[in-house]
Amino acid sequence: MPAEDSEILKKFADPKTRNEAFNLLLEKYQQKIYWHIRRLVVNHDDADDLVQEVFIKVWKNLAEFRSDSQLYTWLYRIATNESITFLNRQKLKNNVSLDEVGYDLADTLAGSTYFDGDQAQMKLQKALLTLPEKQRLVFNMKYFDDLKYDEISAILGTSVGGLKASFHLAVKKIEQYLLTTD
Amino acid sequence: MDLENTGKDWKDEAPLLAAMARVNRLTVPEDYFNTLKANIVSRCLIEDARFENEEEFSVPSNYFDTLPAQIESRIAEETIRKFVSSDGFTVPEGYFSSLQQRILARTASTEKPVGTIIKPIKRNWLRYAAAACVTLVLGSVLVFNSRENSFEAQLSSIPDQEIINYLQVHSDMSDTPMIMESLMQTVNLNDNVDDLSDDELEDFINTTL
Repeated sequence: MPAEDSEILKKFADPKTRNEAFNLLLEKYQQKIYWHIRRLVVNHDDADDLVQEVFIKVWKNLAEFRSDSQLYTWLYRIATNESITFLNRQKLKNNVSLDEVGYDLADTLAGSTYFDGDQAQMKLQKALLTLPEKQRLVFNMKYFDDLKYDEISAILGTSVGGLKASFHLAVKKIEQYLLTTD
Repeated sequence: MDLENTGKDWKDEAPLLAAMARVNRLTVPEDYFNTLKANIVSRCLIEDARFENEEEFSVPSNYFDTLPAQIESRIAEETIRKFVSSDGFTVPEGYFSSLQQRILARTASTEKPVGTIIKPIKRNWLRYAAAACVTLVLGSVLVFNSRENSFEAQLSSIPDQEIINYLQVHSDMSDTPMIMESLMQTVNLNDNVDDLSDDELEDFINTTL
């Protein structure tokens, strides 16, 4: 049974139980945060680096966490920012637009060791990588992570209406891609 | 049968019926009529309440305008789920069991030392107070003289990565890419919004997210 966030925060505030709290936090969130990052950056090794960086930042800043938001929205926000920063760095490094980074990721996906999807799953991933970065982000959180619009709004700091519009555009594009591409 | 005169004639015309005893053979549940009045009154109150509250229910603004799109999204989502049930990504065997240990090992190296020893203050406090006053006066003079350049000096002394880390933890994700994209684009405020294409509208939605 995963620990309650309030219990984690309370234990983290006490230096004697800080390490125990961090262990509980890792057990509860590491997979969710990993997969959120992985779906954005695709490559496992990149996701591995990033998830560790995220939790290092959490370790350093959790004491200052203000409980005016949920703990998991704060974690997601850090993970999202870290992933977007990584993709921005790739964009600058390869001198391509942020959306064109998606095409590079699609090329690496086919040869990836850690992707054993069938043809349909490969097609879905390629469809996702054709989306603008923000649409892909919203789609991942709604479709794969099954987050509610209110929760995504709290993570991204954007309006529910905008998120719904973005998700609507994303699913229509993906559906169209799946139906029309070989 | 004479409908104008139905007093005695019907018995003549329907003698079998006339011969039957006039007994009601229909039944009702036990205590039915005892509770019927209360049931009727309750139903009336409910109906009145429903009528009064009907106009108090509301929906979010533009709800019905966006509802068709929401339904279309759900249908498209279900179509995608039927097409493919999972994303196909995998991880190395035992990855998550080792990940926790690796993160903990890295955080252990960033821990500050616990339990510093505090030397007891000596009793000749007057000497220390005098030294503190002199330091305060000298320090104030230095601070006021260098105030103009102190902020920039402080800012430039902070490593860029620390600034980036702070922004990542404390800011919304929409700031950084929007700032970066804005740096590369020029905005013409005189553009006629009505002339925007679907792609431009989509870009607007993506930018303002």
